[in-house]
Amino acid sequence: MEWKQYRGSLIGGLVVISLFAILIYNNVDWRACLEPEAEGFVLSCVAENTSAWYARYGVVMRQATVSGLLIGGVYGLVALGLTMIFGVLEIINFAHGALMTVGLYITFILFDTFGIDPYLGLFITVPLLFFIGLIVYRVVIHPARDAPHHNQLLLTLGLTLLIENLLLMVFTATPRAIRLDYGRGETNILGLFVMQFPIRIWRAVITFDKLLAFLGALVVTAILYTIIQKTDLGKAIRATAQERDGAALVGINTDWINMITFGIGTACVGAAAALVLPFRPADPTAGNLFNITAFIIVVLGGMGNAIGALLGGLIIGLTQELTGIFFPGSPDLIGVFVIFILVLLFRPQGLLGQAA
Amino acid sequence: MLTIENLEAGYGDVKVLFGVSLEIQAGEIVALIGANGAGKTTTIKTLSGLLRARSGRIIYDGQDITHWQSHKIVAAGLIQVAEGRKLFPRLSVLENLELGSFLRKLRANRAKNLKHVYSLFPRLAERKNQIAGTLSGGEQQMLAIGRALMSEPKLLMLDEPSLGLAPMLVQDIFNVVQGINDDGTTILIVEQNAVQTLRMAQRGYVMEHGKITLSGTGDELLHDDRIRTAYLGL
Amino acid sequence: MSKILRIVGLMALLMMSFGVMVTTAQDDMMVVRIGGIHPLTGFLANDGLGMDQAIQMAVDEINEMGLVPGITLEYVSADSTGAADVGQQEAERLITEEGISVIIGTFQSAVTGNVATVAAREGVPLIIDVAAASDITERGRDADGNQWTFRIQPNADVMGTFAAQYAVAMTSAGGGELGSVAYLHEGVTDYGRSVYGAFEAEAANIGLDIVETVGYEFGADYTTDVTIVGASAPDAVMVTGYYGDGLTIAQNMEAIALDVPFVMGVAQGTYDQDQFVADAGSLAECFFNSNYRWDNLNPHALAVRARYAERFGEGMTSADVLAWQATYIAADAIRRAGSGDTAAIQAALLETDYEYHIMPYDGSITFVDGETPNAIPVVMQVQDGAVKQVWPPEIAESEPRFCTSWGG
Repeated sequence: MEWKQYRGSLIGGLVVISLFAILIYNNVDWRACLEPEAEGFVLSCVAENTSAWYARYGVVMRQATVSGLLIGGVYGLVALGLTMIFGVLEIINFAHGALMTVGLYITFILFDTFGIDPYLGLFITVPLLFFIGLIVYRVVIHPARDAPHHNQLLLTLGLTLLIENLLLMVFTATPRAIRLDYGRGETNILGLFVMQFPIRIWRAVITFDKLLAFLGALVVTAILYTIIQKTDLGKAIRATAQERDGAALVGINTDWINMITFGIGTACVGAAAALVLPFRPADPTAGNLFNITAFIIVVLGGMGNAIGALLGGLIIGLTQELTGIFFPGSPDLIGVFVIFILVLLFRPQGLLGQAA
Repeated sequence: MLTIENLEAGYGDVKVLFGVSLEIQAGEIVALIGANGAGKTTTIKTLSGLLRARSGRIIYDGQDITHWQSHKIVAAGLIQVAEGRKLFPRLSVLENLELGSFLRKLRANRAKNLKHVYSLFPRLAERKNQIAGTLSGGEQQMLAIGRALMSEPKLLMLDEPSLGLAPMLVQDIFNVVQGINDDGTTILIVEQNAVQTLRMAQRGYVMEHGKITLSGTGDELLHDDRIRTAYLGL
Repeated sequence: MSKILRIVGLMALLMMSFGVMVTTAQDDMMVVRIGGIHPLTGFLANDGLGMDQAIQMAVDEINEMGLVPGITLEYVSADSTGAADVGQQEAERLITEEGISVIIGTFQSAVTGNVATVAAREGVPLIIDVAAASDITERGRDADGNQWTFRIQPNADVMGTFAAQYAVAMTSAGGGELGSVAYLHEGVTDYGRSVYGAFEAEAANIGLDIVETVGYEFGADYTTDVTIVGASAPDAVMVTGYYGDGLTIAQNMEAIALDVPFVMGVAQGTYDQDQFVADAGSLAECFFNSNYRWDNLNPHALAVRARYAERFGEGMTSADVLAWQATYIAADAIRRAGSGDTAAIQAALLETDYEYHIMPYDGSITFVDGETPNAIPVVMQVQDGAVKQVWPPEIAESEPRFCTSWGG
């Protein structure tokens, strides 16, 4: 493991820290301390004003931090799927977010029509999305695997439009939400102990559904990490990603690995979809946000790198939330794009480059 | 053991092989020599299934494998040590070797084969946890051959095994190849280093512009005037 | 799927009614065509299809009852796809190829603005059922200053202004005083910004202090935005936005247990919808929304909604009601014009004085500079699982309650 792999994360971390700094600089009334009539030492005056501001708005910063980290875990999971597909197939799959939308609607139907809890539904959603991934690979991606990169890009873009419009036809644009009838107030955790939700940390709140989304994303990421690192399948996937001909020469069926990898990558968004539906209604374009962030995280975190994807996810989640309070009313993704550009500047090999 | 008849292959619009025919008997070392761009590597790639043959036939062990996929060809014991080694650069030496016995039927013998490879290349045993991409050129070549041996080859194809190695190492590699053959493995070797190769080989083929233009025993070719001036620099 | 079946059914119905018309119309009946432009595909299709159905229902009713003597109305429906340029092309097509005499539409401000310009240029009246941006009626004037665009809903200015006044008046009536509000609006489209702008202007007018404003971007979570609003400790929180974001914001408010017993939407897309109650359950309780609506105390309004529900198998939204109402305004003008002549209909529209409407307006629908002076929003609140009118008092079904469903 070389530090260079985490250069993107490092740059992202610096941006997050500077966002905090700028926020304090912008909001604390430190100029008053420079006035001649100001009492006491300048530094202690600034400290006092900072703590006064923090007493009132500290909760906003803490909430932004908590919210950013929680949703960041999910971003990381979505990005992990994307980065695996890219690492092995060298295909930029623009339809990744649209497939997540499919997962959202599947979770919704399971809940709404069959009364299946979304977390229990994970055991249906994830395998189902895996098979959908296999089919998409066979029908759409495989026939174009030797086509130029830009053609593949257009193909997945077209697939996105197709999925969105099909969903629109079937489900209309009305957002489809579900509401869990547990997870508020006293909540019994698997019959083991009772917890109060939402959890409050210095008045910043963590709700049951978001905590579960975060933990679930971590667990799925850890499972995938173990599969990739420890199993023969994982080794075959890594081998194919690193040296396709070499993999073929040791008897790995690389076509089959392509298909399985696409399935696993798609299963990731299936898991993410089931985890976010309790707090994010499904509509035909709901996956777009996760798609954009996933692309940036992939650049940030390095190819096929599970830890990098997770780190990148947390950084992007934090940045998005902090930009939201830093530039109220501006697109939250502005800060995220700043990171994106910085990473491209300092890591000019960009999306297609591999650290040697 | 292996018969190629009128093989044609190429990349995209460019045709490289124009009807290659050759034959390898079980237990032989056969050399394939020729200038850069003559089509040696293309021939080997087509044999491994990395390139599709456009016409002609490849018969291996009595079976027509012309349109088989790589992983099936590997399972049949036709193993290639590729030019440029095609190692997995961010996996460890041990992981590279283990992947050599990726196929289910090879896993039972994995420990035994690993021991054998380590006895051939003690350096690999010393460096088994090192990342393959950080090995020296010679060590990488050892690893590439070791990985191929893990696949229990019946016919081992080596593409430029001495490329870029120090002269002392080259001799080591040739000794190892001879040893592998002595253990009963048939060998097809592609080399720039024609003199040494032809001395080791029982028979040889000369390739020019995508065709076999000359063939004979290693000795015959070594003493052929045309070969001596064209390829041996003598 | 059922939607597609419904469309097919609707088409079949249309064809059948044409057949009937041909046999009964003969020579003594004149046909006047009404065009409708709404988003029938694309991301607002759900809203547009409902409005389109409402117009068809109104046209069928008017023909059946013979409300326009000697004239049979015919409805020509067009799809804006939600895009301004497509809406404009469809307006041109309806006028030049379909020979329509009046247009009804279009749900979105951006599309309506373009259609209004075309209508004014071609000299065809446009009746806006839903579209809030205030300047559209100005764009609906021709070079000579003649008004061709007429709106029956309260515009963004009116809705922002009234919301500020309502908020203060409701609090005083409850024995309290509204000192400060915080405002959470979507900061992406004209609608969110212009409604907020009107509220802000009126707040300055009446001395209402806005202590925090957050213009949010659409995302997966608004907890931080809601926390910012909560940190300013306001007496009331105002929200302007669409359905999905409004729903998530409500959940986020519950999560942080926002300690403000007065949360009100301003022309907001969520908090007065039956679907909100269905989606959010008990969480929906106590949310206010100041928005355009039918008058729920008017028995005719209830009858219209019942007919709609029976015919189409789904609830009639506020937007559907406005589309239905706009069709009656058009029919009234055609009746007085006595023909499909567009100039005559425009002249008739200028003279409109229509008192049989089902809107909660005090007095008739009339037009001054294309706007309806009596058009006002009403405040609704979710009470005991139902959306109730609570303000102004003249049309209130129930008293406003200052509370939160999370007991804050």
